[in-house]
Amino acid sequence: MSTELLELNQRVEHLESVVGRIFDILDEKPLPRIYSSPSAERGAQLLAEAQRNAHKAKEHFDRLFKLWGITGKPIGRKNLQKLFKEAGFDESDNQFARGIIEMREE
Amino acid sequence: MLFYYLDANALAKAYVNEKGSDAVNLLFDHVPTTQLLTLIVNLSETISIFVRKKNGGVISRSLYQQVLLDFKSDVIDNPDFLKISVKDNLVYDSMPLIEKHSINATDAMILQSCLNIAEVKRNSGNDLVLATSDRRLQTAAEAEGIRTINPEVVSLEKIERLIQSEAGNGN
Repeated sequence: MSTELLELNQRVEHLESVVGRIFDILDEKPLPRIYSSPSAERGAQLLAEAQRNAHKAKEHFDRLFKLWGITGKPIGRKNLQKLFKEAGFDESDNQFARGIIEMREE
Repeated sequence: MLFYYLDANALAKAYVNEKGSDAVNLLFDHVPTTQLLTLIVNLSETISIFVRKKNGGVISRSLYQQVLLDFKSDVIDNPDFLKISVKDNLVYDSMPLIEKHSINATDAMILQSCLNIAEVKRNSGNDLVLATSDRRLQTAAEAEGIRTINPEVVSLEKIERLIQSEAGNGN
């Protein structure tokens, strides 16, 4: 990476950090009174936070997939469902959804 | 307008052929992703079940990789499909629900975030529907006044009616 790019990257990181701190401070402020209840305010905060971080998941998982050595292209959900069917998975077994519920109970 | 909150077992059904996959397919096919959301922990749970099945030899490594590639493309990489963060407030707010409904920590956070977000949506004339096949979570959510659909038992006609009613409202 060139010196200019490195410096630019550092500046962007610094800006992101400052903006993040500002949002944290804003979260601590009293109710702005445009919400009908504290619960609604919490909901608005959750949605705003999710929208601010909308692109973070991709960045994180790009790194994660590289680490895990996962490469390739999507083939589409319905094609995947067909592959599972062809591999002999019994639809009525529900082993994936059931497995998630069981994991939560462990 | 209806917004759909999918938990991990509903998300997984989009990628495997299970009871309820047709119902989840309808949501993915006909509801704009701007109206879909999940808790960020549900991403980890969805990946976890596929890792377990791969490690247990239930699915091949190539099928595992393909599932993750499609899941990433549809849900993770899509900025419109909102991923709700887990922050201290959400964890603390959700704790009473654990005792009240005898649900686990993850279910409590899902339910608490549903309650908060449903209130925002209702204030603007919209609503939130929780899609889950976890019966305990579904029962708790309904007791708290959250609309739910269980993909494993809901009729496809009911989901079609929900989606069509939105179209009829001009949303």
